[in-house]
Amino acid sequence: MLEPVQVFADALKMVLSGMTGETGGGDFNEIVSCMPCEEPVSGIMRLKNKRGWIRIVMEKSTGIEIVERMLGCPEHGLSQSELEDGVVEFLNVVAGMAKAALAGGPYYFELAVPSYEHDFEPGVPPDGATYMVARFPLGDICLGFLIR
Amino acid sequence: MKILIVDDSRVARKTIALTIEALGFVYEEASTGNEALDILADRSDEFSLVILDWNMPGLSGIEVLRRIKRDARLKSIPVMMATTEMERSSMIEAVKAGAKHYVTKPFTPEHLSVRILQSLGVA
Repeated sequence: MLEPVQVFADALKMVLSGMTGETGGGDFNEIVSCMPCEEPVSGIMRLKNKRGWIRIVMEKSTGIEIVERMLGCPEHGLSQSELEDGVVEFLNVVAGMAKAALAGGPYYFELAVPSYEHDFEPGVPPDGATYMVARFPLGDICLGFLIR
Repeated sequence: MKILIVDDSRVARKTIALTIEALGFVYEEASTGNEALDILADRSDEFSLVILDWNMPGLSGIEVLRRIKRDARLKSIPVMMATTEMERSSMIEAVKAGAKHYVTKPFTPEHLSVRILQSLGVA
């Protein structure tokens, strides 16, 4: 297994726990392309000092659950813009934690400002990227990265 | 006491705002570094603390921090970085630039509360 996969998986689990209180799950598998989603929500960070990106994808229902927990108000009723902003912020924190763990190695990257992907299609082959899916009680979360 | 929250993420600002409200303080939000500097330039006397993200479009948080600390009218306002930049070198850079405290995301409301109170000098 590539070291960054473990790093990102650990970061995902720790950030989910820290931001939502979800402590269960986290088992993950590498997959060949992003998992299929009926209604995906997706954020991407295009790296500054490397050619590549980090992407997070999940079902909309999972994204809503995560962002509502981040905001501490499960009955709040999220707007679409809050959902998109929250998914992107979640990716931002995962990337920050992974970056620190990768410091000093060949996969080290600098953080950039992430954005929401309105047109991401999960089935498209990843062209050299690595994808993994982690399973949580809240739902599956797919994380992909390409760091060159 | 009024706190200025500077973060490009609306959700991040809201999570910080919830903690500030729970402490009984009031807040104002800025979504960019330039917006924050404009607010401070107009009403610097209103703010007891600035909570500042690092990675933002346009002016970065560290640059905003440096500009605050270079400005004679603003430099006495304590600044706390709240960021995903969690490497030691980043923390040192921020503290050297004048940050009073540095918290890394994700943080718990309890941790953030303590840092806010410390930054305000009321802990």
